[in-house]
Amino acid sequence: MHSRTVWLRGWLRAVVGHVEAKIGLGILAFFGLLALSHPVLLETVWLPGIYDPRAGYDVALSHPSPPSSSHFLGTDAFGKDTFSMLLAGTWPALLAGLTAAVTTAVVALTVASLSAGFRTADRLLGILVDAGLYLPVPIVLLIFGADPRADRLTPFIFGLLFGALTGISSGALVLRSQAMPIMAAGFVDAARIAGASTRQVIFRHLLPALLPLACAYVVLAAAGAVVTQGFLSWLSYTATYNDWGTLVYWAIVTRDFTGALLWHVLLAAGAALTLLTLGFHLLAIGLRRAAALPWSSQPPPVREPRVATVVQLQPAEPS
Amino acid sequence: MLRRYVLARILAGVVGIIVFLTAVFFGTRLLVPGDFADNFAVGGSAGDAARVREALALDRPVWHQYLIWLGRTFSLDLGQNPRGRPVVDQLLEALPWTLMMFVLGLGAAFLIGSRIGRWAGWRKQSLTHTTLGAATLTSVFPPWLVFLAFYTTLNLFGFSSFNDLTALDFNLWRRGPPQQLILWQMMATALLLVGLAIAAIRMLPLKWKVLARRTSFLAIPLLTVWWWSQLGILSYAGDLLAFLTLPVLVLFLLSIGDIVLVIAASMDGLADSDFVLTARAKGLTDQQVRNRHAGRVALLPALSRLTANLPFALGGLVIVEASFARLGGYRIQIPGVASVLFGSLRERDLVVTMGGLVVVGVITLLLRIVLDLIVVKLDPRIKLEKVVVRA
Repeated sequence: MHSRTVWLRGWLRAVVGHVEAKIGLGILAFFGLLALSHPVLLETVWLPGIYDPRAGYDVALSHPSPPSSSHFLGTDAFGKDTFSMLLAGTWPALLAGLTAAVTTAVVALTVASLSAGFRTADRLLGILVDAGLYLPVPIVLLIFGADPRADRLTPFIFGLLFGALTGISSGALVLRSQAMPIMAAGFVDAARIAGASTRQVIFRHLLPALLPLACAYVVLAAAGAVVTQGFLSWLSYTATYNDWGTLVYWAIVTRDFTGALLWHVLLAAGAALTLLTLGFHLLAIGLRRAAALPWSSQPPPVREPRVATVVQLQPAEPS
Repeated sequence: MLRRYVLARILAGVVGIIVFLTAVFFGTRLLVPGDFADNFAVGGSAGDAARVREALALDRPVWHQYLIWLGRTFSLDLGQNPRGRPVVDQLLEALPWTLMMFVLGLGAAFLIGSRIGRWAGWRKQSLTHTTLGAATLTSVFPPWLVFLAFYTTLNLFGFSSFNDLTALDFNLWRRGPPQQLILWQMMATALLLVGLAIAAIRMLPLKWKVLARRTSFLAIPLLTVWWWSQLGILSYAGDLLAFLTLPVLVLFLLSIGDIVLVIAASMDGLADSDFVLTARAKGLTDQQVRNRHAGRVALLPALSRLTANLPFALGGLVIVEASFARLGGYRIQIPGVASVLFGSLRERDLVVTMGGLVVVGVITLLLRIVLDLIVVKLDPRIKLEKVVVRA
């Protein structure tokens, strides 16, 4: 037990040691806070009649209105508060990203470890992965969401489908190619000679070694899921209504009375989407750097203090 | 040996594509509700529907339908849409648009992105982090934001509406030839010239090679344009290129960040490796070592990643096409494969949807074979005998 926690802690320390990962985690935590704060704000500070993300309307202003003290990011053409809608859209985006990440991890790790452990499974799964690489994931999701009568592409279902399709195709490909050298490594041979079964090799040796890389890949998949979901909801192919993509759509479609785009709505939603994706990307960079380090076997490098040593040459004493 | 490898590769691809087709057939059945016959017998009686059902073999069991569909797909018959138009015609009309955008956008992104990545990943420079940060940012930019960035820039520079750039010149095309024909001609001439140039450069003596390679970057476009003017399609080609500028730029911006990041990442540790030291010891300049020795090695992971990401890239192209259509209130249509797919989804036209997916799969297959061949050519470690035995 003890060695496992040491391993985990070492890895976490290696991840957090990278600036990119710190910033990425910070961004994700920020969005988590935003998602949590929305219901609290609606309960306490905001009047639901004015600030409700679906039906709010402020009679004191003409709409669309630019950012003001009462409406932090202005209102849209229907008189709804932009900031409230932005907060309401945070949870769907996060949920889709996280579900996609978890599903990709489960599917890709299962395929990779099965193919590394069993030769017959490798043959069959190889064909499956190869076929999966022909599938354009965004288009498949479009087809799934295309039925106007059924609102079936909820964030959870979206993440599940995106993760499964990404995991079976490129995720499995990447992790499988990483699993093969691990299975050929000396410590796996040693474990086998000591009498470990394939199952034990997979769970004790392969998966722990594969996990850091899998994390890096999976977080990238989450970023892809967030972008794709934004795109699909922008085309109104998803089931959520309070969604950043939908916000972008309405910002473009409903102009103000001069015919200009609603820039405050558009930029808010676009920036939120870009920032969240950037957070996932930065975290992935940090995770990948940490995975490249031999964190488990070596202590973190100790920096030598820089001390200028002055060597004084003295004439040898005459003996 | 190469021929055997290509054959084995194509065989493996065909097996993969059969599994893919199976997934498409049963997947669309599961995903899209409704009945084929309803689309064909709109407003008809129950008897009409039954007759359509029989004519389309929809009364047979599913596995039989599947076999029929598979057989027809392999003989390049993708069925017809409810108005009686063959799906193959519809998709062939759309294909050159998609191919043109894909080749131009991704090709430019790869040429420029690999250079930036090579430069940024070689040594830690003061600008490295800025470059990589910018690359990360462009790769997370949603397509409509990229598009809107262009839109505002154009507005700043006096294009009051972007219709100037996103519409074809109506007067030019009213009596002109079909646009697909021009697109095919444009691509064929350019590809032919590139192929000829590569072959010619290989045959040149060594002392001319460098010069020829450098001038070819300028000479090939000029020669292409000259050829177009000889064929009499120059004005049409120019209009088409102007029309495609914005989507190609968007696609370029969407894909360049990823390429820069991958190449920079695989260049990362190479500056200290042994073969670089050897090359340096031979007396090569820093630039030569970087581009010829390290850059070639770093290209391999980028290419394999590109192979894995091809369907995503095609999906990205669909996103770009759809974004343009949506932003322009469906007045701007790039009549590519994506438009066909979207139209079929709106009209619940399952046959066309399946046909579109098949076309995307086949494009992916062909591009993957080409990329695999490039990898074999680039990577001296891959011995073809081994590959053939394993495949």
